[in-house]
Amino acid sequence: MSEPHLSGKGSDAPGGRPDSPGARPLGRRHLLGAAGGALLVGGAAGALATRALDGGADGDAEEGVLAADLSRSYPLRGEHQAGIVTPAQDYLFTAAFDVTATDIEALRDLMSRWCVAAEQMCAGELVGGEPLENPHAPPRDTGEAWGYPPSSLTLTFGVGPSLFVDAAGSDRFGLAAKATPVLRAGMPRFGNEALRAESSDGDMMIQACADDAQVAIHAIRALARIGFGTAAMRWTRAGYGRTSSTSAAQETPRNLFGFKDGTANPRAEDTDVLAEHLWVAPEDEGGDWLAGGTYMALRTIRMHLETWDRESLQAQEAVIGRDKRWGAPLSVPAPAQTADEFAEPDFHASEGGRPLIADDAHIRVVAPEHNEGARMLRRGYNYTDGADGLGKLDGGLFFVACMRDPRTGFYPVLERMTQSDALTEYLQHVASGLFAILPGIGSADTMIGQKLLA
Amino acid sequence: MTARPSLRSARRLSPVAACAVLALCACTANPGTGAAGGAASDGGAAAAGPIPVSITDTNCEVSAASAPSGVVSFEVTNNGTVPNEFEVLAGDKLRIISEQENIGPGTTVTLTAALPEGEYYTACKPNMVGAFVGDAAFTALPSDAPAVDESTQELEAAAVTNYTAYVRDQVGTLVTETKAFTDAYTSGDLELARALFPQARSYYERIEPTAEAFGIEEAGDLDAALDLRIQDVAADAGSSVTDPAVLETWTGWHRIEADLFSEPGSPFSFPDAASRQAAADRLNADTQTLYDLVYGNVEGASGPFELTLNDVVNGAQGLMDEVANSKIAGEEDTFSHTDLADFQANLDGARVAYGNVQPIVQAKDPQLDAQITERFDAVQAQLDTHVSGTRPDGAPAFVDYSSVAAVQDDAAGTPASSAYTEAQRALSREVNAAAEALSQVAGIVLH
Repeated sequence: MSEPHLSGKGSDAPGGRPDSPGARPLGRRHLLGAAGGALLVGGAAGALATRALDGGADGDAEEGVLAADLSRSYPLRGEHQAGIVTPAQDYLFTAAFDVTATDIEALRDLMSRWCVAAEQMCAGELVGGEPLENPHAPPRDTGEAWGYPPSSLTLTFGVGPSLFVDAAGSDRFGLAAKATPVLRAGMPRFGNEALRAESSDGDMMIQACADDAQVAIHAIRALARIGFGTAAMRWTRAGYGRTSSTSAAQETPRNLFGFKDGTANPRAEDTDVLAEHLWVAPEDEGGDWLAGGTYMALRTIRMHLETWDRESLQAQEAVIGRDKRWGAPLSVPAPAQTADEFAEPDFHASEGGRPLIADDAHIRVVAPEHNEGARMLRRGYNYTDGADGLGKLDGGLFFVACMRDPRTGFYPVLERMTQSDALTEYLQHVASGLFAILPGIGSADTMIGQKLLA
Repeated sequence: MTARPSLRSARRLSPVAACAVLALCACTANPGTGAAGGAASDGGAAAAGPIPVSITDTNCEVSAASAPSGVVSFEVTNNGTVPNEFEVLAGDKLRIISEQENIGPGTTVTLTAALPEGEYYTACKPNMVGAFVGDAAFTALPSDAPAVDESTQELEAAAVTNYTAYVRDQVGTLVTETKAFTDAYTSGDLELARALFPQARSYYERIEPTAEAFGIEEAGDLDAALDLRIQDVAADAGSSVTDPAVLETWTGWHRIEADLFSEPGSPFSFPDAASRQAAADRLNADTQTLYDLVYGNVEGASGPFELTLNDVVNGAQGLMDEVANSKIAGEEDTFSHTDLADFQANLDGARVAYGNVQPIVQAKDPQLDAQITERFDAVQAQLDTHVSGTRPDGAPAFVDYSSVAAVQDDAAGTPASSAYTEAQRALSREVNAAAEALSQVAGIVLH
């Protein structure tokens, strides 16, 4: 397997210090191997799409064995932020913040302090480094991840439209001129939405992903603590999913409807695809501060699990367009093995005049060939929020997707899905967010978003 | 509000460990004289001004290996290509005495550290992670400089004296205000009693952590007698809040509140005037005991009433934590919903307590002092939006908290988190911001 240039962590990018005393052994070959298949073509609700798949295509089982090595760490600095094409870790904890400070100096100070703490935590170290000698001061690190391995922690920082211009139209920090048209417009409304304002949007967003839930949650708690007085936590979302499957021996993870997806991923070595569809380029709108970054669309999609569970197997498979056991497209006549999952769906196949993959089947609706080649990188997680008060489980998909331009890469797919996807009957979008993911933190930078705020 | 004896009472001042006062970026000339340091020189070469430190990505050159004990400053220049940090570590090289993180390439900062005589280490850490770079021994030599200088000692003594006087003053007024309140209550002037309830309580709420920390038989027993909520009484008894046997044992402010603000016939109402009189008498008697304690007329569980610097610092912190944990959720006054008056009193008390140590903080970390002042003001600004008029003593009166917030009602359950109002969120934001800043004071003032 060749090493993809965009491995997710820029150990070969400016600022990476893989050989410095602070960096843990990265197991670089394994890390890069696991990075494959991070780009999902089209969006398939319920998929944990970035679970790497190219390792599986290669049948390289060794890569998969090391996927959950908790000693692995990713440096904070690099050309792109970590946590986008980084192989999806087991757990996610995302938090959005509202900036309560009114002057940009306070915002810069926060971004500096977040930068330091993030770098320390990603290295598996305590916030603030060694403990303070003075026992009267509160410990700078809250301590619940003390001695835990780095656990592949990544922290990904984004800024929302309201950081640039608030709801009242005010240019609160003098950043309005830097807002791109995408940010100025915000995410459009879609059908089948019942969005809750208190768990949507936000001035800033931090995505923490790790192979240990406590490590991810500790990171958000530490950053929120640093934020008191400058930024207030608006909402959080905890996500889980199966350990990354990076070999043919492991099956693709399943969503809460019990279906596999994320099958049509191209290889991450395809840097042209990433450059064309994922990363904002210098010549793009906002390229002066956003080049090397991307846009992240977040949708909390509640699944009506109980209703779904009462559907016949045949009906469930027809809605998705895949067989439930193996994940094979319904155009495969008699699926019998895991490899059938990777068969290319034949949307023209029919029997008795009826298409094998129904016209409103999920995989047909979201397939890139039906969406003018729209592509995005998916990095979603399952979520469960306890009982809904009516005796049902409140759970579903925390949909996370990144794309260079959501106007072409995401909105059309979501629009199509909410209009004509059979799956929509079982879904409700309950929260939403759009953030510009800042470019990677440069080797000499002292704050997150230095190009935007300096 | 007291649920159970406070841990805070156990947080007494510990013996002075290797004392060190932290102060970042305060430019203080080093004591002593000596040749200006060149390249890392050995013992005795103390600089007259700050000791220059040159950082590169691979080295950390401190131009003197020693200085007279006392406040030592370092002028740190990052000549490298990545952000770096400079630290002064204890002799075990495990604990940080003082540090400056995130020194950008090409920038210079000044770091001060109060170093009693002894052995230390200096070190850098590129990108604030990984092993130390250029760690080197550093000695604080014997000198006449005391660990805590005289002016600081004076400020500390003044803080304790002034805060003690404040506590006594508040308790003194509490006795008369409580009497006025219970007089209105037992005489049947319920409207006046309802107006005086939040007013009289203010004198208690301003100094509550102190009352919690002391007691007659054991720490906290006076606070339990005066300020316990029925929810906590019932929980301890393993019964419901309307269990007559539980209600029987309930005393203090909230017992009277439950009667005064409930409809006649409610399980919380007293059956007769004699019950009211008994509750009022008990409240006055317990308040008088608190008075006798703080004025030294009686000894408490831990001996005579005596405050320490620790109590002053924790008084401020404790009051803001009290607000953050229970006032905002409306858990304190679930019958009267006069929580905002308690909130204001907690804030007043915290400001006074902090004000007593403020000169010490100002001298050592003026930035923190400014931040605390600003954040106290922000909390006050939020409270000001809920003022409804003026109460009998001329202080601002507040709206019924349940009219702007989701609260507990008549000792019932806690609201769902989704029910909290924007007003509550705003209060919570500002209180947490203030409390977080205030939490840094102990590390600066206590030693």
